Amino acid sequence: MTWRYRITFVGILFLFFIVIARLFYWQVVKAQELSQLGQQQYGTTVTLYPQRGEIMTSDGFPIATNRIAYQVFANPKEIKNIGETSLLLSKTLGIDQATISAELSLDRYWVPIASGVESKVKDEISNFNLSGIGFEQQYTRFYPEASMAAQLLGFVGKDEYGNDKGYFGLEGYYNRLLEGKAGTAIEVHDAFGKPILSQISQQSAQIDGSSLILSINRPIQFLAEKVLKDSIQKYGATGGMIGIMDPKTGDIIAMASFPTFDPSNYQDYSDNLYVNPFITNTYEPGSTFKPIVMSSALNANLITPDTQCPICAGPVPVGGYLIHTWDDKYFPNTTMTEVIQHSDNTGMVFVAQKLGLTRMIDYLNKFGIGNMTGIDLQGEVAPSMKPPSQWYPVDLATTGFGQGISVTPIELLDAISAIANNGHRMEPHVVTAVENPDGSLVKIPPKEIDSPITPETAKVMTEIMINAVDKGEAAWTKLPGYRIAGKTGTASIPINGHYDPTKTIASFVGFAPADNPKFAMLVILDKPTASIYGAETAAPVFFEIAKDLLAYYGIPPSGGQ
Amino acid sequence: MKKPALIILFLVMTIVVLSLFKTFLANRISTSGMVLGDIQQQISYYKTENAILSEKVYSMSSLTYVSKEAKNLGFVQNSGDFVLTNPLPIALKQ
Repeated sequence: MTWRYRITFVGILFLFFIVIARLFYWQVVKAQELSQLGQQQYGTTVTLYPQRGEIMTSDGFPIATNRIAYQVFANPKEIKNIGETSLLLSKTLGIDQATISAELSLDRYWVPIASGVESKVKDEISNFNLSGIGFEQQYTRFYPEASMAAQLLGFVGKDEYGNDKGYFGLEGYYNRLLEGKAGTAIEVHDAFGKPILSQISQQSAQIDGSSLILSINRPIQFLAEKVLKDSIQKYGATGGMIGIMDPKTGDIIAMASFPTFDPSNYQDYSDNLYVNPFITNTYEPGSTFKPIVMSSALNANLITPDTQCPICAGPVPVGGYLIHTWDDKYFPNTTMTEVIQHSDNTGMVFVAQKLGLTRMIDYLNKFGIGNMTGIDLQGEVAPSMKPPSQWYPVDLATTGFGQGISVTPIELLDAISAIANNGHRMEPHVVTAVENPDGSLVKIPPKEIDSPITPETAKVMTEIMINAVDKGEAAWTKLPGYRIAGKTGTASIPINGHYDPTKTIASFVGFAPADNPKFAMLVILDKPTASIYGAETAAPVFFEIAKDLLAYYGIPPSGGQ
Repeated sequence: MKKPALIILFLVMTIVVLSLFKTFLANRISTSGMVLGDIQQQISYYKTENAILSEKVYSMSSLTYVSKEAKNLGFVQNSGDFVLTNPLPIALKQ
């Protein structure tokens, strides 16, 4: 009998094992799948979209925010009169009636008609009481200042999945911070699949995007854009740009450029207007580059402000070329101070030759030329410098007066700001703080990149630049009573291996008040026709803005010339 | 035999009382879903209203709008600032 008990016992054990194994299979192996199946029976997973963070100017005003808009959709099966419905929608939404009619004739339960519809228009459509027409609330980007700082902001478009994504400028650079994180929730429904009145249970909450607080000063940005727009018209230029920076912190106070675009309707503009020319356009800076080379030679103790130029009595031959001054006027034994004052190319050839190739490249690197400044905007470029082996004697000579070398406007402004800031070069930046959705503020501290020159050299160079403003070509437009350091520039445009004699890039770079600079500014006018010279076009624009800025900051005249 | 009968009676009474209590409670909270729905709708309405009003405030306080309105009202730009370059003597020492 014992063997029968044993068989029965083993049989029962085996049956238990099968039951346990089956339970393990359903409860452990298939647990997640069954849980999902269960959820599908009583609810639907819905995505909770986060609100995109705002972009605020230094006064806390949102220049990029969100507004409520609606998506208009239709259930074609519930439409009673396609002709009448499509006509009313067409009139209200401004869409072709045939397009709407075609959508409403489709054999579907849901068709989109229009998105980004304003609440006023939505109310108008609601009043028609059209059957089969519905609305879904959504958020769209809203720019209260319209196209102000558009190339700085960038715009919000769609990615390959149809979700919002920032492109260019701040929207592109800080997209991950601004977009936040989508969440999911379960919407409970009945056996027929209809949603029932019940609170949506969140599986994971959405996290709204963080907001950016900029160093951009709204009134100054407005002023810069207005003056630039008027000046382009006044001087017959094809475009222009202005950058204003706090040399002590690297804060970008304003950055304006024209032509520009409207970020709300970016699709109506040419692609090449999306990029910010202040950080992407490269050009030969011309005479505005001279203070950088001059201060390098001063810092290396190769010259002093009173050093006389022994080769400035006439055109200078270099490597088979003859280098002239811009107006073919020559000043024998001119001093270094006068070289900047007269914007003397031959004097700068002397300085560049004194400096030599190795030191020239070393100093330019320290000033950030050929490197990206690190500004927090998408799309910055930096034309790299040639390797030392590819420099000819004439290249060294022309670099002295800003020809044969390419820079971006932000590179030049940052380099000149180093002179204004006692020789300390700061990293330019636009965002000063990030405000998290919980209200906490993360400040971004100023960052020093390099110290290309000593404070003593910076002071000497500042005095030379003040002299250039007071006695140079742009003296006619300077502000009396203020000590402003600056330099004009009339850069030639290289075309097919030579320079175009009729078209120039007119510019002026400077900072004020020179003894304790509050701002450094670069003004560039592209191909002005009223005059090709920076002293007659860009300089008056610089001083017009500087006048208002000094009044805005409450800085009285200090008794300069 | 008395004890089981008492226990059964007690259990039956408990069930009856609890059932009545459940009915009462269900009756009380049966409309709370609608109240909750109303509150949710109100929150949604005020959120929308707030967003629309914020949009209006931003639009009307933008410099673009303010400068346009100022121009329409006939405001003109200040042509120049008056600055005292040297401090003037308040009283001369005799």
